[in-house]
Amino acid sequence: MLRRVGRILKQIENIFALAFGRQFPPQSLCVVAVPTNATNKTSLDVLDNGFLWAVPRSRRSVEKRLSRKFGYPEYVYKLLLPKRNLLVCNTCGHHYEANHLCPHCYAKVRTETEAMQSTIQKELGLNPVEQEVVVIYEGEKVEQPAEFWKGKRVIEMKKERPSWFSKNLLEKSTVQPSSGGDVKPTELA
Amino acid sequence: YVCHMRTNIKYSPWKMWYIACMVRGMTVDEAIKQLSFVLKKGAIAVKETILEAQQIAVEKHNVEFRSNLWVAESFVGKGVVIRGMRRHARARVGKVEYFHCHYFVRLEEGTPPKHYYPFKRELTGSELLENWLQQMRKRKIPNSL
Repeated sequence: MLRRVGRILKQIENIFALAFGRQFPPQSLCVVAVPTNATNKTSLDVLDNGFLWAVPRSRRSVEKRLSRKFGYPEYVYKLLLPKRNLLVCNTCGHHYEANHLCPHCYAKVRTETEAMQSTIQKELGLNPVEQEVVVIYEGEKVEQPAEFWKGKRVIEMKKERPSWFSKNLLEKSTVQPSSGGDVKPTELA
Repeated sequence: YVCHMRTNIKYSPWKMWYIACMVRGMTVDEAIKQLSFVLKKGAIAVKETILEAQQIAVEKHNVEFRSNLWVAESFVGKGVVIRGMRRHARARVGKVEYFHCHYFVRLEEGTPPKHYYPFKRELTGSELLENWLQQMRKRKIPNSL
């Protein structure tokens, strides 16, 4: 008790010294002569400032503990629930999440893309790309005449074209290419 | 049945418990399928453990069909704890603990039971009616005879 009072008084003195730069009570009005270098740092100031002030007041009930562990079904349920939107990919046979890409098929496409990118980087290096870059596989360069490749930077991949990689990526497979000049209106208001 | 475990997985046992709980009572195929889509580090170790257990069951324990297994028990234990200290501002010290966990799984042959936890099953109509009647009959006007 007395110690607490003493500590509070010391803190008030510290505050006064910080604020005014002078001693409280002032040297002239002191009853007992207090030496100015009396600030003894026996107790760490760091320990006084908020150390061990936050402490649990009462034991957590078992309901609270279980609620923290399991969560609330209406609010945030902490237990893991099995996913019900898993489907089987028709191309590879692995599972995938609905409305997402099949991870197995995507990994396959990704490795191929990375191979293409590394060949492009090796061939073109740091030169600026002014012409169109075309990536072709083995045996496809001879299919087109030499003028076709004239204004383009051709990158040849030293492997066969994968079976799933179609040559025709720009044309839609369902709609046939039309020869007529009429344009059908879309999204009529 | 086939028991298998993996010790000292670098993952917190309290976090691993959620994954172990999810897998309980599932068929082995369903468990592996679901674990592939759990976005937690411990799920990888659990999936590998269950695959190993399935392999051991087929090779050494005379299990005929590898899909005819279900997860009977799946639980976690605390492993090695590496303790250390870290410093904070203002001369404060912090305790650092690196937890490992052991994962235990037991596979049984056959089809899994419909409800792994009997208290969690959906109650039938007659059971619900009984409960409702009990609730209604328990009512009392306070401080009455």
